[in-house]
Amino acid sequence: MAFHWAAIPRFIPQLLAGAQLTLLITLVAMLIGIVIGVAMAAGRVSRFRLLRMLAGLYVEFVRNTPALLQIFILFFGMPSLGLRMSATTAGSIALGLNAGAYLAEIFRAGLAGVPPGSREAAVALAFNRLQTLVYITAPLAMRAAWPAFCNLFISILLASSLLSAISVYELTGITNDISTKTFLTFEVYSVAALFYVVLNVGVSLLLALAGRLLFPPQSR
Amino acid sequence: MIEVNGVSKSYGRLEVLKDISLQVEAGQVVAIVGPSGSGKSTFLRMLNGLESFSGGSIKIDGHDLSLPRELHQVRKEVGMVFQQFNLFPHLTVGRNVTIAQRLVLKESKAAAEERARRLLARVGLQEKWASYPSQLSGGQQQRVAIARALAMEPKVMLFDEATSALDPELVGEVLDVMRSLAADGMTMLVVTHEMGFARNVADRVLFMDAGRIAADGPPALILDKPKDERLIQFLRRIGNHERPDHAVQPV
Amino acid sequence: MNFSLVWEARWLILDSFVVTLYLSASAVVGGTVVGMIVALLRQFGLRPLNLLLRAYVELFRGTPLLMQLFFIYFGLPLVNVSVDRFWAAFIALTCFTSAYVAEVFRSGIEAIPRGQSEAATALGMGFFHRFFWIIAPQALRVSLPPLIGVYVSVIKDTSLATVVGYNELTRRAMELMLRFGHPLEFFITVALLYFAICYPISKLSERLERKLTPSAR
Repeated sequence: MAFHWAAIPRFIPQLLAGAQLTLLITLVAMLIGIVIGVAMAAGRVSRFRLLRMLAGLYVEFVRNTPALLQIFILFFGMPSLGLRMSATTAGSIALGLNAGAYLAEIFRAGLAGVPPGSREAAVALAFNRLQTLVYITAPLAMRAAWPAFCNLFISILLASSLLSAISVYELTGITNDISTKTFLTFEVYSVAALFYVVLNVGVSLLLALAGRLLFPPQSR
Repeated sequence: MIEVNGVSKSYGRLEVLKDISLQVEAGQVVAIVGPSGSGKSTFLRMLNGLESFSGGSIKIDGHDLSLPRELHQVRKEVGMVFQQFNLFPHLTVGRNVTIAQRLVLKESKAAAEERARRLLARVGLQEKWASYPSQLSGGQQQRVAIARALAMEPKVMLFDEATSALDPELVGEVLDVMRSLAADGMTMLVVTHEMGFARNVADRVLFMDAGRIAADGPPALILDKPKDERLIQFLRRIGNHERPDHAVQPV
Repeated sequence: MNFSLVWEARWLILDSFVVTLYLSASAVVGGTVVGMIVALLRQFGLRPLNLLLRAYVELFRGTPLLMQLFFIYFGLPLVNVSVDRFWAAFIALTCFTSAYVAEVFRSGIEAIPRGQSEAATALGMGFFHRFFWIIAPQALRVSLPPLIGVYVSVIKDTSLATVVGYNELTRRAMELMLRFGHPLEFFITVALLYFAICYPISKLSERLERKLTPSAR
């Protein structure tokens, strides 16, 4: 069995375009996810039972059903409700809704990780509720939630591959396309796998760097 | 300065504080002692609104704690030092001491920093300005906490077992700061197990037991000539564990 | 919304539901077995072996499952290995899952205080005795909640087999939708079926976690 590696460089530009789309989808989904996540986390700890239940329902439903199905529901289901959108948009929104549910849990856990004494000290120092939230609770919660946040970011990056099932040409989609047209399956998938690993490592490093900048290490 | 009238508190059916009445003059240093569960910390925390109370009233410097706007004012005038220090872990020492000044008192950056540096120097930690709480020892953290509370220029300082969480050799440095505060005329309410402090620095000792003030008087009377049966038992138990190296110099 | 079509197709849906469960169970067993082996092998401490195993784990955790599935389904025939849809899905899911299982076990083993190993050695126990009687049982206890989390993911990930035409639940919903329309009704029904399986298992894992970590408050 011969490997025709020489044929691959021709496809690098396409693969790069795919990788770019992968990153874009990931970013959009994470942004949507953060907004939803904050809202749902607030809902989960709210005083109103109805809000707590609704937020809980959303989070549990999304976390216990397959992401691919969620993408299908949005992409195939929305037109019947009168909403038409491109596959990329629908897929990104679906991923964003998915990320939002996981981020809700991550943020909730982060909030729980804030030392209660810090909040008491702020109250004793006559901070009002907004001041306590902005200067004490939120920074400490984010610090606690950061590792889980980074993990989720990578998960969403990998999950973007699901959009290939609705014909979006991100990295996996492009790879499939090239593979079925040229039968260079092994070569093309290996290169694509490498791209994913590079994306993975690259994003992880960037996030770690951001983590160091936002949350300077403080140990002795 | 502080007027407490017929105040009670219950958690469900458990009555933690029963009909407490008390008056504290400006400049007085009051030590509050008693067994655990006697309600002393709960009572202290009521004085800046961290705990609610039922029945009766609490007035500090004329402000009635049951009115929300007054409560905010009270928190500015009453400083609190916690057993677990409760410094903000994500902020440097300097920022810990300036943040409330900036946000609550609306001080300018320069004024806040100047006051912060002065207070940190007073507690002996001026060189730790840029350090984080996790880099400091327990005693150092507590001294920063005291500086942070003092930065609000309070009229009253509350100490909730401020030295109970410290290793024995670090307790002295914190007690020294508290002693110097008392010498400068600060009104202080100190929940403590440090009998040396109570005897030598406090003007007045309250013995609390099962939610009531069981004894109230000058230290010489309360600690050396106790009359209450449970107070006698309490002192005997404490006495067996008294650490000799915390002989605090009288004010 | 009209669910009568869903009702009419109920046997088809249930059939695919069973298929999904079957694939899930197979992948769970396969993934756990392979994952355990990988975890055990890593404990030997042989550098080249560890590097190889680390590469395996990083590869399967760092690339999308979908791509792994495509690679196996379209790639193996090119080397004259014919794979039907089930086997392609099974192999891909097993390798993917095993990488996560191996990581969960690795964390579990590392969570055990070194003192346990030292005590066992001091008592004269050799590697295998130490591992099987002292380390592994404790690691299993700690690993159980995250492991169950991985298993829930497996159930959800079987949906990816759709793309190679394997007739599990998601594909059935797709098929029915393409034939009869009413996408929302079919997809939501199928989603509820996934939920009915995954939610109780997730809750079980949460309850286990609470029981296994009695934190002194």
